[in-house]
Amino acid sequence: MMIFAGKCFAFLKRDLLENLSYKSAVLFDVLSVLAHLVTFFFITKLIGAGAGVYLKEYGGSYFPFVLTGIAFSGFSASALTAFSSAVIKEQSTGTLEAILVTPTSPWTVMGASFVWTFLASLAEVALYLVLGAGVFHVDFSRINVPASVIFLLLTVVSLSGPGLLSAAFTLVFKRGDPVSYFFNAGSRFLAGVYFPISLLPTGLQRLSGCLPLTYSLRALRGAVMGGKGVGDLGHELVALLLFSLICLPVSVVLFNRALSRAKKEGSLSFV
Amino acid sequence: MFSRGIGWWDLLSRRAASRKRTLALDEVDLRVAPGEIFALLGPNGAGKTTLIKVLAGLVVADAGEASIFGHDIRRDFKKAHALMSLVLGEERSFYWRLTGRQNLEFFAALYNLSGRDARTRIARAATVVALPDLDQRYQEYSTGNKFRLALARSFLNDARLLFMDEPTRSLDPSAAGNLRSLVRDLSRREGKTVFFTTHDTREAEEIADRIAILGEGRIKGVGTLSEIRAQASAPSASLAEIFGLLTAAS
Repeated sequence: MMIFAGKCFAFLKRDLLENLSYKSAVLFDVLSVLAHLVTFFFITKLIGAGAGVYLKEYGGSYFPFVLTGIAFSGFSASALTAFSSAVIKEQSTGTLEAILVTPTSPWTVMGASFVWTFLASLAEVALYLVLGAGVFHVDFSRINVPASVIFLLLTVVSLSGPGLLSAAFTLVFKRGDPVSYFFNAGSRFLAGVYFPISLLPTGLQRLSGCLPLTYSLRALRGAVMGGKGVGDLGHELVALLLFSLICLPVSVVLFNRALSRAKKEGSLSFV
Repeated sequence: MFSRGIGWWDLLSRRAASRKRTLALDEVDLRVAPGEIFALLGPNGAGKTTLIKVLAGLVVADAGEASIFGHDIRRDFKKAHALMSLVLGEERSFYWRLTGRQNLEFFAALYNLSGRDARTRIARAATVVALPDLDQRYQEYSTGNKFRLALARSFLNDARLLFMDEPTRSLDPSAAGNLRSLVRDLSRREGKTVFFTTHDTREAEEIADRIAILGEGRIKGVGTLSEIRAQASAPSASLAEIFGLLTAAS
């Protein structure tokens, strides 16, 4: 465990140093979040109070709804792509083989690379919420912090399965990963990021029920905007746990198979 | 992939399985002695890199056996792994925006080294390979110093065996000559066994104690230069001539 922690720290330090070496990157990341928020602030003005009819469950205003949608879907997208991004990064940098000849397994590489992704995504969520509250006066005073933390972690765990599938696909086929496309781009449309699911036709509403982001967004909005506790979000809790329990073991097996195949084909380091 | 023979290294073939595939290596049977500098000489596409990757555990062979200092690379992978290191000839095996020291600190952690132990190993490795400035960004290193850093990394786990895949591929003749001397000196001074691939006959002749010529995945000749001459029935031929003869025949 100590060895794994040491390796996680090494990856975290590496990622931090690399990111800090791009001097203006952090500034532009902040500006990009701000630009996103300003855009939706004015779209909210354009829509006016008309959207309130569809957003009663979320307090009636579009801006807080879409702000939380963007912030948490960005977090879930990072969680989803973290594993495949770790593989792609080492492959394209050319360091994957240099790492794998050390006593470090591909599992450790992905787990340790995830630390930076997780912290950076968490910081981005915090930035959205702080800017939303500080600049656009969104009221987050009812936020239930423990429930928010629990559902953020559950979001990560529930998306680890599809994330591993995506990494497995990347190892074998390199590009054109349909898993992250479905769970990422598909989720943005179907899971209620920009508009409530109730607006979708019935068939698509059912499809949205197959996506973990649907439940994590509903739970996180409930915890952050409505102050709901874990007990009030039992349905979402069970859905996310079930998704994790079913998807994760299958994905672990498939990732191991993909790794064996890449090693047999000698394509581990191919981009 | 590996089939017969029991040896120190006994490296054999990748067999075509159900699908129609290229046979990358076939009946490769080699033994390398401790402290030896061994060159695997072959033209492009001969299977040199595949062989080194199989031995380093990066490619899994379909059949066959190989052992490193008595440890089977499949069954006893961790022990075999701990005894070897891989020096990649390509420049892309480091993080370009980190300094040499930061890169070595990262890889030291992957070798389960930390704190004072890691710092001591890094300082020693940099001294051994005569790397002038560890606090320069990797992207600012000359090609020669990039190779020195790769060599320094291979010293972090104090490996007894160094695999080098075309180590001087991207170096100019002068830098390549310096690094050949460095590798030879290091092997003698530190007692390292070196197994390197090359397509340069002069390089093989200059530093290797023994040479294996690989063509189309098969060993065409192995031994000292005079032994290879005898095997090729060309007692006065140069290594370049024998290389041409053996690999063209395939």
